[in-house]
Amino acid sequence: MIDSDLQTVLERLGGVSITARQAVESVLAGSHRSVRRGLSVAFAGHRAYQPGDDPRHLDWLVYARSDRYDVRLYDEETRLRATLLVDASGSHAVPEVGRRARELAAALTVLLARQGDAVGLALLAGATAEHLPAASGSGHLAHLLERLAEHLPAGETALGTATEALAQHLPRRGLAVLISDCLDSAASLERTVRVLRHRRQEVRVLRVLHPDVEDFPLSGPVRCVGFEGERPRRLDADRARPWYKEAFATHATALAAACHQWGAGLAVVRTDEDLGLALARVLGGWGAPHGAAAAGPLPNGLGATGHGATP
Amino acid sequence: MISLGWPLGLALAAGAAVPVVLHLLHRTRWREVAWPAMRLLADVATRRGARLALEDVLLLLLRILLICAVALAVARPRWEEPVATDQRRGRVAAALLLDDGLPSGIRDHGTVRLAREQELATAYLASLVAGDEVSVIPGSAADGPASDPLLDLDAARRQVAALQPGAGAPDIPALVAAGLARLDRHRNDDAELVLVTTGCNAGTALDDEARWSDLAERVTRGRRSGWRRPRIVLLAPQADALTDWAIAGLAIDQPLPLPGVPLGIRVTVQRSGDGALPAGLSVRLAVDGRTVSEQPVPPIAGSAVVVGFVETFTTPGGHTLEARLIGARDPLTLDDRRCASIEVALHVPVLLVERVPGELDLVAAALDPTDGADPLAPFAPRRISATALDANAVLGIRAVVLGDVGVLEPAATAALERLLAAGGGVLVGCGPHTVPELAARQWFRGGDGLLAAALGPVVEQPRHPRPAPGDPPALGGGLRAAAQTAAWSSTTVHSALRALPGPWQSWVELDDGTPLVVAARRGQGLAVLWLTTLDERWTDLPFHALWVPLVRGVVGYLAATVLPPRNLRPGDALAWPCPGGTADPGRAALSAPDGTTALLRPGGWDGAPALVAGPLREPGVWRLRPVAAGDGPPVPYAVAIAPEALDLSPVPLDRLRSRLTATGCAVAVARTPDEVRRLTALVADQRIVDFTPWCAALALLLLLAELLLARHCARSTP
Repeated sequence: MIDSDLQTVLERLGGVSITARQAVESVLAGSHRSVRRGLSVAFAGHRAYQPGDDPRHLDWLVYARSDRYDVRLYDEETRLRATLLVDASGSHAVPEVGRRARELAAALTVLLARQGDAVGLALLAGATAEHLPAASGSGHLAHLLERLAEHLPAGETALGTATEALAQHLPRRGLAVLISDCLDSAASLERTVRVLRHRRQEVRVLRVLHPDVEDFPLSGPVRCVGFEGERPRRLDADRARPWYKEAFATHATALAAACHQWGAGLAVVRTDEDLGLALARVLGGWGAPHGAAAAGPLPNGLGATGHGATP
Repeated sequence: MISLGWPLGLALAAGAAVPVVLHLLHRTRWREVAWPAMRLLADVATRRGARLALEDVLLLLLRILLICAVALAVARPRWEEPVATDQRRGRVAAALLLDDGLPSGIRDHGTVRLAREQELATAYLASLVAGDEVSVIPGSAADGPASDPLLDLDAARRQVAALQPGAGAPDIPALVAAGLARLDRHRNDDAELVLVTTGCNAGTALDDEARWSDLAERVTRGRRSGWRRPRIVLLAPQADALTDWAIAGLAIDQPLPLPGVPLGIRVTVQRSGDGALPAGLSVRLAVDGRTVSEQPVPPIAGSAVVVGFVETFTTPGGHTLEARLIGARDPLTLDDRRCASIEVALHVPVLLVERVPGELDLVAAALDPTDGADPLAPFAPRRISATALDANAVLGIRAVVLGDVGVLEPAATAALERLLAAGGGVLVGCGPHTVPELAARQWFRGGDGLLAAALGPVVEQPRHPRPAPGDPPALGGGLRAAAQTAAWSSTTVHSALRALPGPWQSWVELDDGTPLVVAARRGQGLAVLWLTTLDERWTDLPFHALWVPLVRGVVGYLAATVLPPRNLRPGDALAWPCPGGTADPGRAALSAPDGTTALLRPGGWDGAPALVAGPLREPGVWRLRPVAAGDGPPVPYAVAIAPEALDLSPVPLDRLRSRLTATGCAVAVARTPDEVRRLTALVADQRIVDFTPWCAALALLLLLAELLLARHCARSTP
């Protein structure tokens, strides 16, 4: 369940809500705009009739006035179907990282549930994913939080593969929030984002970062042992630090580029950061436009439905 | 050739292990850290790990090389251009060894062999330059006092030119050893031993392994005054095979000639080479300077033949014999004659030492049956108690007979050993009071004492004695002939001590081969061990006819050596004990063989004052005439050539060279003056490259590289 600290955080967050900038496809009404036209109360505009359009959507008043066959378009208010993809690989066995990832997931789950949205959970461990489909209701919420608390990080990080396995079970449109330390390769992360985007998911990436991973505070001769069965590495930490930092920066840049390319929002949450402030910063950022790529068509030209679609 | 100025400096190179050890220790101190971002580290390791490892190895190598370079610089390596072993490398310290022994007097091709040696030596001296040192050492002065080396090369040439052929026996190993010893007095570094031989085999001692081994050890033991291992230059004049006739021996049949008794004299004529017997070659014998007989040399089958003479001496005292070859016409004349001094016995002093009075009555009776009443008695035995034996008791004594004394005071033992060393004789009798273990410890002393053999247990089994095979010299012809009769077999030895095996000679043995009388050399003298009693306790010998000739033969042989010795070798010194105890040179006059007067000087003989002269170089008869009538009759001394000096065959040069090479020295050989000049060509410019500065520079460079690399590594470390 929700521990007291997290409850405190949620209370501090107050009215902060998660607003999907991209319309989500939902059959349920909610506070999110739907791209489904015709049945909503919010008129969105007209467009020329095309063969195949439902004749019931013809605006006969326009026809009467201008002798044109236009179809009425509406923005429909729906409930958001969000899926939290939580990286449960071995690298999250670092206590601070695992804890912060669970806190973020729990916080988002609670916030979304409080808005009345459906929330799902996918725990990505190795090449597989444990998926709890999006749903609402207090029972589901309790189940999600319980599962979050139970799972133990293990296995290699393979976000791309795990996401591919998961993608067919995701709703066609929705919000996908990836919570990970993003220590997998940038290519793997790009693959993850791409797959999600192809499923018409609005993708948000929350990178949980331990400060040591960025600062590399080791010194002297060290034998580094990984959490995912990697080959141990021996090195002189002092002499390797500049090269490590360079590698880290390159990796971070590649991550940002991958997210930017596929219109995914990327936010970094450090483990030494106050959770409440971090959530406020992240959720506040999600409320703002996210950049051209996020609003534009998918890079592969498979069509796009940008928010605020024109009639 | 690479050499090191201070080889111990290389030990510093062991310090090269320090960086290796530190490196290995460093590797064992890895701290294990759990790290989530292994993918980034793998990236670093892949891209940069090789460089890090390379830098580490490079740094390690630089440090090892740095330490090695420092060690090498400290060791001061240098390269010397190889030079031939017969070439010089600086100022020379030369020991010029000239063999002026008997063969140096050989006259062939119109010149004396020594002149050719001098020619070679002069050619060698011509190769020396100012600053070189030279010691001229003739073989005749090899054992003389050492003098400082000469820097005046003209003086050295004069010394060489002044040499005369000698009559001594060459001794090449001794000459080389003297040269090595003389090099100790030299200051120059480049040592040369120049051995100028006569070209004859005499004195080379090529078959004497021990002497050459000693010489090699001496060279190896090395230098005391800074000379390097010397280079040996062997200068040997061409020596053709020649035929020489020499008198190699002059001996008498009886060890102790008696007045009025005919004495057999044996003259050995030796031939070197294979020349035919010259027509009319004869041996002329002179007694006391007067020719008494001459006999032709019979045809010679081997290398020697004996010519026999018989002479009767009517007066006791010292006499001379001189044998001379007539008609030899050979290249060496010095060996055509030989002389000997003999003492016709009269009252030879013999000391009988008894444990209890009367113990040696039978011996005394055999030596002097009249107990001093006969004025022509050959022996004058004097009996004393074992407790009275000391150094004074043996003064003037030529032979001592010990009864079954059992034990002696240490001073008495020392006195007898001194007598033996000086040439006297000691006969030791055994008996029930002789304790073998005690005798072995106090008298035998591992072969250095007065006992001829170590004693074993008593054998109590009646046996008959007989002369030992090999014609023991102490047993006269009559005794040896008696072996064919019942004279020996009628005697019985009931008990005898056993002689343990050793280097002794058996004179009389029992019929089972057990030795009964054995003899062994001790110093210049002779020790004889009588393994049974010298009375009737263990044997009935004293009651048989053999007793008297046997005792007289043994004691006479022991006492035959007149002390001080009168038969000398060239180079020996003579001594004349002064009656009355004052060694005044005016008390006697010494005349050389050529009639000139030789110098006498005060000295000593066996602790007593004596007049001495010598070393005597010239072979022949030297006569000493006391001035005062009370000091005794004239004493003849004979200087005769040593038989070993008569080997005039050409030296096997290869063997001599290999013997010299075995000493560890480089050996060069020259046989003509031209070859000498070529051998001694001076190498002026020997290239020597000192690597020390190079090593130091290398060490500095490595240090600089190490600093730069270490700094680079440190800079990449925040």
